[in-house]
Amino acid sequence: MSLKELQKEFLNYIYCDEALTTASKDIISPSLRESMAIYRRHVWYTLISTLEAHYISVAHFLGKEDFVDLAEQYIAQNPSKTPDLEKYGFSFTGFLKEHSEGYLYDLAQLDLAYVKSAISKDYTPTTIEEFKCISPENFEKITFVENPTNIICKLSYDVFDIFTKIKLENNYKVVIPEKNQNIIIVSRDLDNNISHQNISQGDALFLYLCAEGKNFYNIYHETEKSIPGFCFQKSLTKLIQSRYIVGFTIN
Amino acid sequence: MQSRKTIPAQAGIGLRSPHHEEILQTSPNIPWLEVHTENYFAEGGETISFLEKISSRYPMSFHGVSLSLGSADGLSKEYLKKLKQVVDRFNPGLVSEHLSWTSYNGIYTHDLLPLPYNKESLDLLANHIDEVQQYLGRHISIENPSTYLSFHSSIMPEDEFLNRLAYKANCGILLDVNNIYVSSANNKLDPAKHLVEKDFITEIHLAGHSNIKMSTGENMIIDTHSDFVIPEVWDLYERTIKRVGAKPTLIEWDENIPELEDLLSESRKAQNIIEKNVTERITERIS
Repeated sequence: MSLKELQKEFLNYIYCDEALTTASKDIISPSLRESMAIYRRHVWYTLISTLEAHYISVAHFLGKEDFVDLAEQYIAQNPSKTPDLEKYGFSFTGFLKEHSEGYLYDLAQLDLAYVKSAISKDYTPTTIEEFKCISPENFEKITFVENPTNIICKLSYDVFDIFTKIKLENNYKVVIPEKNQNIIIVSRDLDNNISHQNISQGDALFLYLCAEGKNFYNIYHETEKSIPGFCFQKSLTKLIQSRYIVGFTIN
Repeated sequence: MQSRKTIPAQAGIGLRSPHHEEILQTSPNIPWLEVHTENYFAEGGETISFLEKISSRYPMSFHGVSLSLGSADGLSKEYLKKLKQVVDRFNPGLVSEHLSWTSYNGIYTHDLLPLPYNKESLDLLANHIDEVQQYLGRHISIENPSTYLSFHSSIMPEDEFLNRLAYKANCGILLDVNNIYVSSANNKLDPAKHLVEKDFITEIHLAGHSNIKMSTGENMIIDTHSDFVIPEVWDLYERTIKRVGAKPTLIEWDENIPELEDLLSESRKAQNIIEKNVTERITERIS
């Protein structure tokens, strides 16, 4: 049998538990079933461990047994398609949205935000003083550079405190959160510490528009039009000082 | 790009996250360190910052597990690009991978799966190694795997396959002595007959393993990297060093990671064997 046929059958066994056919005639082992099971167990153990490491608060909330159960369902439908194990399971949030309570989806969003923020690019932040040196006639040419480690999560449940406490206390006893629309931003500072903060709808919209490459005036008009009481100038100052915006370009 | 620090023919240890802080703070006297390449594929952040610091102090070796040199449908361009980025940035003394496959048709297992030792595998691996070495602009070394089965379609033993591969692909061999022991036991072979040519060997790995009982009553050894090196593997290592001479040797420990001192203690055992062999060789030459 060719290598392609062997590898295809091996993978089907590992992920789908399909019995080997042609490959079984080539394999030498005191027990084919048990030898193959060693490989299968290791693959699944690796993927479950990766999901556990990525989705710490979800795993804490559900407990080991229930989390592993969900993880196994996910893996069966989502074999790894990346050579970078650190990037496995990014669609687990979507899976949870379909298969579990909404608050677990919210917690998973925050867990994944921490994972993504940790591996994002480094940055060198600008200051508000540097921005103030720009002549107003250049404002329309300005686009802002968002902190590459920012991840914004739009949530439907009040999970901020639960998420924070799970991070701080190993034995935290979880409670079911109330429904509440809110937005949390996860970001990494220059010392590589990752944290999460509540963020206003206006500030979130500002950052979304930055990410879309909108210029100064586009963002000014869009935010002040869409959000009653929003002050563009105050928001810009706050976002630069908080290092959610870390630079600007003049095109 | 950092300057490349040569990996000395001494005993080093695998660098694992529970020991990061201690090594940074205390700078222990370790000849070299090895990391899993994929752990440093991030674009930035803590892990990269740590590697910057540690690689400025110690010679580093990068050991990958996901390149899948034995994939029948080719190498991952995505993986190769990331590998080149991290190798170019840190310029490690050695870069290594495995005699195995981990993916096919875009599906990854993140495990080291076995290959039959025949012409099809040899040609495939040699072509892939050549592609990788051309792309990286440097040689790589290939590690013998632990196996839990073998193939009727294999037409040569593993050591002959490795020798032929090293010659054909002009690559190095990372000789994992624990894997020789594990695979030999599982496939009813004599580990003393596993003889890779000494000039091909760029590095040696040592590790612990676990045992399970199969339904047939037979013992199967699992390459868990979760324990001390057993006396039989130390014996095999000593005989290997006697045959091939001093080589960079690494203590691997990936699960149930102990205190740093336990790893250092294992590395000192390996270092004693290397030094004893060097002394014996010098004495032989003089007398």
